[in-house]
Amino acid sequence: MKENPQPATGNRQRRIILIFVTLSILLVCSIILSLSYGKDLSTVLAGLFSYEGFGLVLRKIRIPRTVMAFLVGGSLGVCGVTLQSILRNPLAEPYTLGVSGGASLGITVSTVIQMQNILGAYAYPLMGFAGALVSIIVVYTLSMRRSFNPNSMILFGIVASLVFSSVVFFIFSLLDPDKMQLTLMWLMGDLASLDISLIPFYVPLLLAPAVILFFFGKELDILSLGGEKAHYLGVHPPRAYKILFILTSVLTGLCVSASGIIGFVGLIVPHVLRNIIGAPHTRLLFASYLGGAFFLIISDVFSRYLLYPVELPVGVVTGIFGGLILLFLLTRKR
Amino acid sequence: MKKDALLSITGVSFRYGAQTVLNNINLDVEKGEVIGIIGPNGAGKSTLLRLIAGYLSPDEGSIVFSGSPLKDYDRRSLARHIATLPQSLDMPFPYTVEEFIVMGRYPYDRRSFSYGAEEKEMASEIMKDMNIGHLASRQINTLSEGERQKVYLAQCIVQDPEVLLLDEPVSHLDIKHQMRVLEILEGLHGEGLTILMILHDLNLASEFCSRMVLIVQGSIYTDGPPAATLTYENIEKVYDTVVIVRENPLSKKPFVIPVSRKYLTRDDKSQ
Repeated sequence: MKENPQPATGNRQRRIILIFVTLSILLVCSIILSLSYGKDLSTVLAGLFSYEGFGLVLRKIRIPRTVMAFLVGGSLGVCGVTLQSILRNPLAEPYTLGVSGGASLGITVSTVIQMQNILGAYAYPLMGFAGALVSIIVVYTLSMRRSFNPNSMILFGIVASLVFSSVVFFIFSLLDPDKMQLTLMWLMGDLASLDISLIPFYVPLLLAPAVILFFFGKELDILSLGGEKAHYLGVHPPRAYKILFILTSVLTGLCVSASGIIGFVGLIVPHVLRNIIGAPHTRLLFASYLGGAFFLIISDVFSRYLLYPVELPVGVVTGIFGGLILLFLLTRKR
Repeated sequence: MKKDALLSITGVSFRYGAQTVLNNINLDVEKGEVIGIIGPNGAGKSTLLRLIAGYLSPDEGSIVFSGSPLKDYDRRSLARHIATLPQSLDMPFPYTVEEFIVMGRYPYDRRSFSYGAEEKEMASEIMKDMNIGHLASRQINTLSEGERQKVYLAQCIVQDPEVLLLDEPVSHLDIKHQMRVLEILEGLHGEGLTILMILHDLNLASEFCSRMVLIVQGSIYTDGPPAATLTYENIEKVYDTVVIVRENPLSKKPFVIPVSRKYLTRDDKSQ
């Protein structure tokens, strides 16, 4: 009996390390593929040190896109883990609490009132984030009126989401469809249209909340046992719910403002990785960051080259892949 | 109120909205007692346990633990003194037994990314003591009810508490597992742990508790050793059921035998 648990623990630790190594290799490969597609590696290396020809393509298009796909994918991954844990639902995702609805409304309004004439390339990101903030404030305030718990968050999140998206559809129904083409593309998730001058702002803004979330692994483990038991283990659930709600919502809002509504990343990545690496949240958070980044970068590569020269919205690609993977997982025999 | 009591509950009342659930409860708990809380469904037993655990706060009265009001403890320091196992616990995620049990160390080791070797060592010691070492890498959701209850209990023990609060810890178990779990608790009591538990089985309560508190409609009806609490007069009145009370020949504790109405004569029934 004494030596029985030890080898199992050792095996599991090796397995976990192996999974992290695999994820990192996959991620590096996807980054290389995203930067080099259609070129050989020497051209890419030369391009990194040149300001002409392919060097310009790298600098202006491929590197920014890959950076954003990395950050947005990773962020959606950790937001998905966090919300699945506090809502105690393995099918929750970053948009469950209504952020995407608010952001969509912000963008749609921005198009209607021609904000780009005033704000230029900053119109979508700013209006998208403003919309997300409005929905965060609405859901937060409504949840505060009852006890701030997972049930009230889900309830008001879904209601807010429905109301906001209905208003979006209402506006769409009034307007000339041609004018809404860009907005529609954005609503389906789009890594192409972010102005690259904004990327230096997005890098720290997207990294900071994710890094903070990494420190909540143990709390997430305990919160996933439910509010009452969490209380008994020394967590203050209402306070923890509020902090985590704000962190994930702001991070999701930032992601949506940068690249629209990219679905399924925050749902499928934690779901798949939990089955492989186990439930404890600290390692699941790290793994989901790497996995989310990989999944979005590789989906972005597909979105660019699947129907080349036509470019698909990346949210369509993640939706199709994610949906099929989920379908496979749910119908697989246990 | 006794001065040296570990836990003093004085004049505690609790209401859910307009409904009074507990009314003027007074209870002193000494270190090392094993107290069985019994009473009909809806009497307020779980609410009392949640008040002692600090999950709910009383509307009136005070609860003092180790000389300080319960409300002065922050969540984490309270979790180092009092461990609580609620009636039901469901787990949406596939934790292994070991991963689950070590979470009991959270009140001591909060900020690091994962639990240290020392914490894991402690968890595996306790698993060994409770004979669940072989389950360490099993997923909790694959365990039987009896094994799961031991795992839940192990997490509470890993918290290294002075007081253990249990809400019906053996209700869903077969007689073997009921006895194993209660024997584990008996062992912990031998090491100085104070235990308060809600039990529905009067005989198990009688067998394992040094003191029994009978709660009826939000008030304490009687409070004393099993022989004084489990009298047929008390039980017939409180549970509205005819019983015979005898003495267990080995333990000398009272045991209760319910009697179906069909065996009663007309005279008995009218009483």
